[in-house]
Amino acid sequence: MKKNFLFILIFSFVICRAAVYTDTKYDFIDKTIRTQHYKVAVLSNFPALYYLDKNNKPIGLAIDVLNEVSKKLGFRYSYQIVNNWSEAKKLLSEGEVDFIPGITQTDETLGEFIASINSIEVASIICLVRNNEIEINNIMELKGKNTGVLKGGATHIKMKDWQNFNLVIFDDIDEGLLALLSGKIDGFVLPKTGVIKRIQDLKLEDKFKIVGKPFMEIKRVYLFRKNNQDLKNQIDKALDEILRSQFYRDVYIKWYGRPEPFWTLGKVLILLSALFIFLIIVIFLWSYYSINKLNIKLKLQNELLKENEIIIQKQLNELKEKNENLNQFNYTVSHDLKTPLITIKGYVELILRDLEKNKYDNLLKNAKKINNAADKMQNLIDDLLQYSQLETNQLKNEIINVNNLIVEVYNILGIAIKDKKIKIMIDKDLKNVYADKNRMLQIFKNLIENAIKYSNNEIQPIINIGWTSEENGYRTYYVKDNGIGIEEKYKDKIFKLFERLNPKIEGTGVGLAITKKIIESYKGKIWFEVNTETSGTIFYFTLPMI
Amino acid sequence: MTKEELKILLVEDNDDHAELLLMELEDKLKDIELFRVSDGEEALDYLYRRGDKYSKLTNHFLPDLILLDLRLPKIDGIEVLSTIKNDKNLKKIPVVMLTSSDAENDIIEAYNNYANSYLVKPLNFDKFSKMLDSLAEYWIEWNRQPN
Repeated sequence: MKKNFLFILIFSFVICRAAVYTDTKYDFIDKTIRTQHYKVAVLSNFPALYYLDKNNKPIGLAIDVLNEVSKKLGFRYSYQIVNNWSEAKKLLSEGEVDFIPGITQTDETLGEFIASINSIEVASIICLVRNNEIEINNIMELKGKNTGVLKGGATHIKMKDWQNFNLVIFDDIDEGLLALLSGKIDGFVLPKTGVIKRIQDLKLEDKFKIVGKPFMEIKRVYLFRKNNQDLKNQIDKALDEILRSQFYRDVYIKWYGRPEPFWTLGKVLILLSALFIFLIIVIFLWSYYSINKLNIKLKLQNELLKENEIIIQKQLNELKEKNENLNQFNYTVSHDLKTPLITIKGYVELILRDLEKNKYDNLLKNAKKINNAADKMQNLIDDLLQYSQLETNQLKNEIINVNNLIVEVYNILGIAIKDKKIKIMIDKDLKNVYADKNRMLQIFKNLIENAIKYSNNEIQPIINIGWTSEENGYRTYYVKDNGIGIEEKYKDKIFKLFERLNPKIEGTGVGLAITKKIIESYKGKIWFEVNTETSGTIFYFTLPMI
Repeated sequence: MTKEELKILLVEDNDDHAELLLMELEDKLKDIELFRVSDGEEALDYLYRRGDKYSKLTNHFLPDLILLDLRLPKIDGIEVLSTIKNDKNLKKIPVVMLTSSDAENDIIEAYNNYANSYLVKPLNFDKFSKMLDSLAEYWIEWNRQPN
């Protein structure tokens, strides 16, 4: 039991020891440091070692390295922010701070303080001039001119004893850069690293240039009081490791790395995409434009085709109508023109037969029949000629007063009107039409003649002539009678050649056909309505008005 | 077989033609009864006994033969023919078309509408009588009562 206890004790000790060993990775660390809290002096603005961020918290290369050092050594620290090296050194010498985590190593500082062996950066001192400067080609040519240096910096310390150099001292880099731009100084001598970074940050690369060779090299080191050799040694060890690590490479690039080139892959891609989209838009617009143009062309051609089609259809219809007319003409000529001929032939045969038998009783009567048939044939031929001439005769259009025209018709039809005791009533102002006078005479004569011919013997025949309306350059005239009337179902038939509804009334069946043809030649219309008051007929027709 | 009185309906608008035809008919055939109308409408009115004029006609008869002019006022001959031949009561009546033209189209149209015969004016009456004879026989055969 005792043995067991001892074993456990020893085992526990080993474990604990191992744990302690693992924890203290850096066995060089003085255990006193681990619990320390140090005060450090940092500059408010010394690119790229020290900056202040938005919250006035120090950042920069020196701060990153300090942080890593503190992590390695396990101490905590707080900042004393100062404006220049002089202040920082004053605080150090007075014991207000324990060390400065990065300052230029100079002979002067080494006299009073001790510096770390390791430096966190090495910088070249260069001479910066305005970009358009031509006189100054190296630092020596600044002699007799205003030369800017940073207060308490290595350059300041070095150059303050130089003869004939008018040193202008600045608290920070920005002040000096502005003075250089404004012409207050002609050259600014300072560490290269920080100023290049600052100029890049300010995007003022094209305003400055570096002339000559770097005239010295400086080291940034940790600075301690002379009595703090122990701390210096500890930090040097930590720095030795850090400076060789990937961490240092990363933070160095972080603070000194060049800004990304303007033409990054992303930007190139965006530009290419924009170009591509632009190209697509251009192609699209172009194709849209050309298609549109083509469409318009096509549309025009289509319209033209349609128009042509309409014209052709119209001509076809006209031809068809003409053909129909011709067929009808043919038909009627072969039938109706033969009718009186048949009569003549029939009665001639009768007469011949009677003569053979020496019968003379019916001779006169039959001869009269032949005579009548011959007359009828004469009329038919005359009317037919008139009808067919409608197409060929030249029209002589003129302004015609319709009232005067009716007077002429009245004179022509005077005997028939008197015989049948017809009352003709004419509107006072029938106005003028613009047409061929003979044709107009034919229209009114045919219609009035028709009204007379088909008058009702049982009542007083009245014929009214007037007009009802004017529309689209045409006036609608009418001839109204109270005659025997025409049934609605014959409305198409009566205008056809040789069509007659009543064989007992003399006529050739050409009159209305002629009338219709004339009116249609003036693009007018003719139709009839039943006169509901008298069961007579009203013929309406349109004529071009003046 | 005895020949009965032949009843004829003449549809002819031309008075002279009607007179000439009638004279020939009377000359050739002794026993005829003829009724004449002057247009297509009247012909149909007569056959169907309609209108003021024919609905009350006392001596109305259905003809044994119709002589039908091709070209008629109001309703054309072909239309009258078509109406007759499409009527189950009238279609057995033989119809002879009369025309002044021997245009082929007219003849074809007439036969297409079941005209029984076709006669071109001026009338050749020898031919006409022969035709009448055969038509009369045909009609009697058609109407023969079963013994």
